[in-house]
Amino acid sequence: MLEFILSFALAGCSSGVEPEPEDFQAQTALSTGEDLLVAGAGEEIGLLGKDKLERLKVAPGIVRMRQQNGKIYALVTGRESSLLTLDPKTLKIDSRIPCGHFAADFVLRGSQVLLSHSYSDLIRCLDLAGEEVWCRELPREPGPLVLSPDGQDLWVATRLPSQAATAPLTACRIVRIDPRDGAIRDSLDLPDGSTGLKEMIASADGKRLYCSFVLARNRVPATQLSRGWVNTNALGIVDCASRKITVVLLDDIDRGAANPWGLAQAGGRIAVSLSGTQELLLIDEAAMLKKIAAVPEAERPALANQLSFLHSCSIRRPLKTEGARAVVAHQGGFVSLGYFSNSLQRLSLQGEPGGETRLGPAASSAARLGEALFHDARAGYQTWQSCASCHPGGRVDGLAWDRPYDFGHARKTKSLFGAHLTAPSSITAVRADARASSRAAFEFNGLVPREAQLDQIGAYFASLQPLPSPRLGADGSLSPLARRGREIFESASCIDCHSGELFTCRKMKDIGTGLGDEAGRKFDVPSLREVWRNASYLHDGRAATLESIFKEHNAAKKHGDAHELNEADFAALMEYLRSL
Amino acid sequence: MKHLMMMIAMSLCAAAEEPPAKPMAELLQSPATEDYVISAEDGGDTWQYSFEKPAEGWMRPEFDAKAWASGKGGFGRAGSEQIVGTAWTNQDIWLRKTFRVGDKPKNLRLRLQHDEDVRIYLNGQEVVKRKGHRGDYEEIDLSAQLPLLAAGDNVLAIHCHQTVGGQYIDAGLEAGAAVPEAVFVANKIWRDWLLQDGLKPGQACFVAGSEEVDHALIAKVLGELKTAAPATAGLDPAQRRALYLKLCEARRAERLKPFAERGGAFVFTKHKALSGSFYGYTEGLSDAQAECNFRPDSELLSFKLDGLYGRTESLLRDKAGLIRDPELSFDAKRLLFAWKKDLKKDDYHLYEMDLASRQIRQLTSGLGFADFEGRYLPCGDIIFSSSRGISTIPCWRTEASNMWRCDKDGKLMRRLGYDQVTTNNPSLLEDGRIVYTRWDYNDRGQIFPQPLFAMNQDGTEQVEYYGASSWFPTTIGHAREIPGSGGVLLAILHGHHTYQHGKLAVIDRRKGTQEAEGVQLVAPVRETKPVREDHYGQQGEQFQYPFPLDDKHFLVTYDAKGGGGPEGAWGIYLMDLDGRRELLTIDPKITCNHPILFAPRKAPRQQPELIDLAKDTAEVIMQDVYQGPGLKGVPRGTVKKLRVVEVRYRAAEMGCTYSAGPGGSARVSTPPAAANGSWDVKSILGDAEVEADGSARFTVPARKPIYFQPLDDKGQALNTMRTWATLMPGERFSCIGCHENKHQAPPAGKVLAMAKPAQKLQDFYGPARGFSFPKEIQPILDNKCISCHDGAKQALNLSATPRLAKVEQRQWSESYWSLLQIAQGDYGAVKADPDGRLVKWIGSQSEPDLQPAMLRGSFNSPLIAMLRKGHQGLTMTREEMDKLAAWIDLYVPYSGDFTEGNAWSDADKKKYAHFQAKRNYMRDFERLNRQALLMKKTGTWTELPRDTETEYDAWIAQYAPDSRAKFDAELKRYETELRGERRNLALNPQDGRFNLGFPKASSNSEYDRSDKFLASKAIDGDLRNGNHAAYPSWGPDKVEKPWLQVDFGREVELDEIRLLNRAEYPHDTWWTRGKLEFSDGSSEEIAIGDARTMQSFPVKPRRCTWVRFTGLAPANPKGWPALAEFEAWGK
Repeated sequence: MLEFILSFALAGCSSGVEPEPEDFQAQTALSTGEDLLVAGAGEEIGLLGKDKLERLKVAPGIVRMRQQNGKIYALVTGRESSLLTLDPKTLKIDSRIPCGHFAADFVLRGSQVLLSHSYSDLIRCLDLAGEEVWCRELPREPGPLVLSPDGQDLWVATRLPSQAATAPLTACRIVRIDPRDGAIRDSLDLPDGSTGLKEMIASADGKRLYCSFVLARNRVPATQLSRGWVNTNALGIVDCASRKITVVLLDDIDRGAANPWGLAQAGGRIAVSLSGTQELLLIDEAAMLKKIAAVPEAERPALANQLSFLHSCSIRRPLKTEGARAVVAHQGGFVSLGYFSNSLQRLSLQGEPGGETRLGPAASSAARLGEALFHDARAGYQTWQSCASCHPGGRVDGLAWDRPYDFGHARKTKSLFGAHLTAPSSITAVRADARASSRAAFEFNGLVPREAQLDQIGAYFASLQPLPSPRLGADGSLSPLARRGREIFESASCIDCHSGELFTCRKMKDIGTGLGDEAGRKFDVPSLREVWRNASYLHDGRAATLESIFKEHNAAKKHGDAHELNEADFAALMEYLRSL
Repeated sequence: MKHLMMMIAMSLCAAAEEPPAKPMAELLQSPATEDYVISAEDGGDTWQYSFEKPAEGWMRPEFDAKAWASGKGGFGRAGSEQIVGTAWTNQDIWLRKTFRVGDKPKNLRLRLQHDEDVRIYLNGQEVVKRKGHRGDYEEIDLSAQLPLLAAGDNVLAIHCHQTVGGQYIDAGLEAGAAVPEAVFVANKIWRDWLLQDGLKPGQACFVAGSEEVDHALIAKVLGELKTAAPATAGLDPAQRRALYLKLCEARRAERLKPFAERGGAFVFTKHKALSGSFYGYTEGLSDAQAECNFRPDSELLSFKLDGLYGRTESLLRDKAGLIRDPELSFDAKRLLFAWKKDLKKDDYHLYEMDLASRQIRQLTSGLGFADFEGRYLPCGDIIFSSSRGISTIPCWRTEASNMWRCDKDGKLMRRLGYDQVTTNNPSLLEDGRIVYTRWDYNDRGQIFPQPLFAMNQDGTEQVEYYGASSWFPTTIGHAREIPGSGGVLLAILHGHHTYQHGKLAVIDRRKGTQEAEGVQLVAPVRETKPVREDHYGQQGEQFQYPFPLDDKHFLVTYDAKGGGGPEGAWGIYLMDLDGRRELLTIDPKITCNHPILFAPRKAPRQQPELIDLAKDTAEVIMQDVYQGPGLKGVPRGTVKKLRVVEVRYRAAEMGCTYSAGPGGSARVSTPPAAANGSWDVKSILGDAEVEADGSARFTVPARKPIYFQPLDDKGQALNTMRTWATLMPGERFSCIGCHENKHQAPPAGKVLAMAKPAQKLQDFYGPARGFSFPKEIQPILDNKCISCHDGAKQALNLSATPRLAKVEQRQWSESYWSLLQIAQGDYGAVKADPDGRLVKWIGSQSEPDLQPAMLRGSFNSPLIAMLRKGHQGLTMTREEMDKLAAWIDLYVPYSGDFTEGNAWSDADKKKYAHFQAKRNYMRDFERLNRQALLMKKTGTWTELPRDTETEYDAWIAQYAPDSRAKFDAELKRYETELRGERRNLALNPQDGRFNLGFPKASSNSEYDRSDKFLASKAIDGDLRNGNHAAYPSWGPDKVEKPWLQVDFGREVELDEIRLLNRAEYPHDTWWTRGKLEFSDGSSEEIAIGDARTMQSFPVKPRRCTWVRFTGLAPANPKGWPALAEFEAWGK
């Protein structure tokens, strides 16, 4: 048995929940043909060959593994990400390339590594020595990467919309980049309301890309759940040659396919892991494409509103894994990974269930059970959505929603980080605290929650750890500019309201942002912790960036003294905010 | 309490110790019989027959029938499911069969299969008469007719009459005892195997020479068993038969597995068909105005597998009443059912049996109100169908029932459905919604639209589930979700003018929601063609009440041969989607129906209640009116407003008209319009502005049936919603557009209407009111038209002069006759053409499927076009044109309420006023319940706005003051109960012979057991005491120690007893003293006077569950002491 103790520690993982000992939290897998490597938040890689599981201590926080040139590459994410080259036989680390702040995905192109950095909003190209070749900023949260078979195109999907929530289009993007210099060749919008994008893969022939995301119906009032009136769940199909995107819904008429996550393809089937419903959707790719082709081109955009479209060309199989996120093609079938159950399950191409393998003990702490419940759409009516549909990772979807308690007034989605400490909850303080908010959210989602479930959700909120800002130094320190910004924050009255550890006085204030019948209305002072990742801003999400809060949406000059700052001071303040 | 439970126990059959079941092979050996006349099923006999009506006395033995033809039985149409020996295709057939009797038998049995009406004579005497048809042999015990038999020749004679559909007659006559039930069931199972394995009707098997047939049968079973074929060569018939039986039993064991694994038990009912002239009316109300379907004799039973076969156990039997709609609690410990014990003295109410103790408690009550089809909700409440809305369906003379909800004790009921016609057979989906059959024909023909609807547990989101704009399936009934399927249903498809049975189908919305898109006929799976047929699915095999066990297997009431009369005796089968089946139980005389798996089950999702009972409004958010097919082809920008119309229903039937069109034809009761005009009274609630993007957001009254019409800039309806929506208080209902496909998710994009507060509806020239031709249209005509169009100057008479429509019992103005060109029609009624010369509207007998925009209506009416173009220099105001257009778009109503323009007799008026008062009473009753529910939440009693129909108040005051007074008194009493105030705790006008609810009066003596002197009469609230014959009282017989006891059904706090003597002295006398005994063991002596008025007896306040009035000493031993009223005051 090979063992390798890693010499560096992980400063957190993307879920924000500290892994329990022995907790695999399987996030990614790689089929080497014979064997299956499984890795996740835990320190170990599971090596599954012929039904026998070996656990090899490699590194915690592996988010992606790829195989190329006889080597296995594993991307370890964190404040200091690194790309490991592993010996395919021993899984011993041959080399390590430092990759910077929270790399989300990588592809190898010749002697170069192309990386996406979700939280720094960057795409970077490194050589194998770790030297940066080029770097490109790309809003917002670039995630999965696909390199075209000829190596000429790098496709990137963004995980969240970057526009203001009030913009005519608020959506994730698929971007085509020239891998040689990072030039953006195309930027394709997914439909309005697309958010929570999880995965993108290429078709077997490389002609199409498939991506999984939540397609929110946030422009209509969130008053009823049926027929996807709140959230639907979608598969994006990018025709690489024409750069046209077709979006089809994964949902059935009475049964949402909540939180599509992993994608895999094999044997003419596309497997979509429905992480909210613990199901695997197996789509007959040829039949789907034929069905789409039969729809006149002018009517294809409407497929994004067509429930049960895939019913005749797909099968939906229940999984025994809990937290079915990643799915991988392996040995002529598919393997589903259970992020919460710490198990994996095999299925044939036709979806016939095969064996299960336990990787470790299933999640059992209150926080982990809360996290599982938070991601479980089966708790909701007709499995359209889970809490995580609007709050991916417990944070924001970048959208504004018109909810029953403030009817007629869309409010931006709030991050739930620190929610348990910043009562009252909700933007107009309708809910006394996070527990009341959770209860109402459950009821709104068609469930009468048990107190124990609310306890678990509360434990999950309490377990959320702040993600260190990319602006912070490796030791967590503020940059000199940010330090200057901190002084301005204190002198420009920001701190009067955004006070305390979580930067909120927990009161309602009028900063002149109420419109129409809300003119003069007070709104909740939000916490500024992690504000850098919680766009868009203001109560209705009208500000796409922190700058625009003050530059475009402060006509009343009531938002502290920000309007009195000079450009340099303003820039310093922004830098400080981005560091929180 | 004890006596009460005794009463119930008497109606229960004790579970007897049963001996072990005999093996099948033994049961199949028929008891010794002698065949006098052999039925076709057993080989057939030769009969003499005539298709011509014979001379008098044709049925007598001495009649000379030599001229008659001779042929083999049975007689019928070739190609039918039955065994036809001789073709019979005309209307009537007369049959004679002479048979010899040696020794007189001890028993006599007739086996009879008929289609349709038949009369049977034995030696000239009529012995059996049956109406309708029956698809299998009925076994009729004729032992009582044995004296008619003579030694030697006897004659069995039959006349059968055919009207529609299939035709058939056959009979057999046997000597011998009635077959024991176990033998009957065994033989049925045996026959069903043979039938499934391909034995042709009349084909012999397991006899000499039937080797080929036998081998085919055996091969068929082996094919399913997939076991190696045993050697069959050289087996004799008995051995082949034994082998086949053995294989069938092996196959049965395999097939039973999915059922056995789930406990192998179910509860079920035995009763005859529930409905009548059409599928929907099963209430059989005690105060039914016309048709009343009540076919007593019923039983509630359980079935449990015992090896390969099973045993049944009676849970409750009522030969004089009808028990229906069994439903098990989620833990399978309680059984909910509906029970009506008498045609006129009781109505269906909900009862619950505790299965461990077999104790029954009555949940709902009230004579004149039927509560049935109860289903448990996950929170413990119950939803059910109830006639408490008090309305008569538009197209016939029967009452409608809708969805209601009550708590676990049957209390605090509130109305969820406000539907024009009947809704039936609710069942819960796993996601928590309630799916049910909703008959739905506002502004279209009534025969085809019986779609499935769904609603949430709190009544919100009442929307189409399947087929609301379809011809096919005519009716979807008895739908239940296949477990774990995410909303895929197993249901029966039947017709409109049929009973509730037909073909079995899977309904899968994922494939589509209209016509046959999502419908798959099953058992076996086969092509499903959408057909347009009123009597759909009535030929051949028949299904009822499927109960899915998993995605392949289900329990079902089934008959392989069909024959759908009310007397059908169908069995309960375990079946799979391919139609493979095993008979589980069958009764020779009566249909076994409604199997419910007897096992605990997972409760469906409990839905949070998101309504606000304190509100009386709801909100509609329409995203884009141009989405969906309803406004296809209408350019954007055309729709300026949405009109909201309320549909108002008739309280009773009075007069009729006859409509006809592509959707069918109908007799329209209490017509508010001429033929093909509006089915119902319509009230314009107002208009809402539509934004430039097609969106609209507006408030509407909650708990009212409403529909929408998109209007153009001229106030003309571009289309009309020929159904209705009902919103619950505080509900926010979102829709995409005009009749959008239910497969559509809302498109992205901003909704302009959401940027503004919800609009209040803008009045349509005044407050909401029933649209009345005399009030809205005639003034326009008087003002603008009558100067020329007086009937003399211009033939087209637009005057207000009334003219009688006799059959309709309406007085319509000459102008109404003229504008609609009303002419003489069929059945003495008059007719109007919806595609008329002046006025065009879509018509109440229009097609049930979605009609295109701008089809007919004001948009295309020549009258409107003429006035817009200019007519004789007339200047029409906007208001006048709007009203004319609205009148046409509402389907030309005349009456703004159902009494307007009536030509009714005083008796008719009294009847209508009574039912309207009854409706208002129930609306107040329901409002009090909502107030009580609110009080539970808020702690305070708040008056909610009344929603009784005040336009009838004067009418009720004039014609039904007694009804109103009675209802008002009951409301007053009920309010004190709900508020928990001090009151007469004994009062229960509903108590009586059939009541099992509380308060309940009982006694050891009730004179003559006649209804006038029942103990219950002492608590009925009727204080009249001057006439013993006229006014009911508790009147004990002259027994030694009479007592009267009142059970409260709960613990109450008492502080006063009041007594009112019956006082028709000197016939009556009074008790001088009495004793009050209380359930806490205490008692108080009281001295009673001869007062003719109420006497009060304050007692020490105490908590008790019953009080008994006893120790009675009459003042005059010759007189009759009696109590007009017994009151027990407290809280």
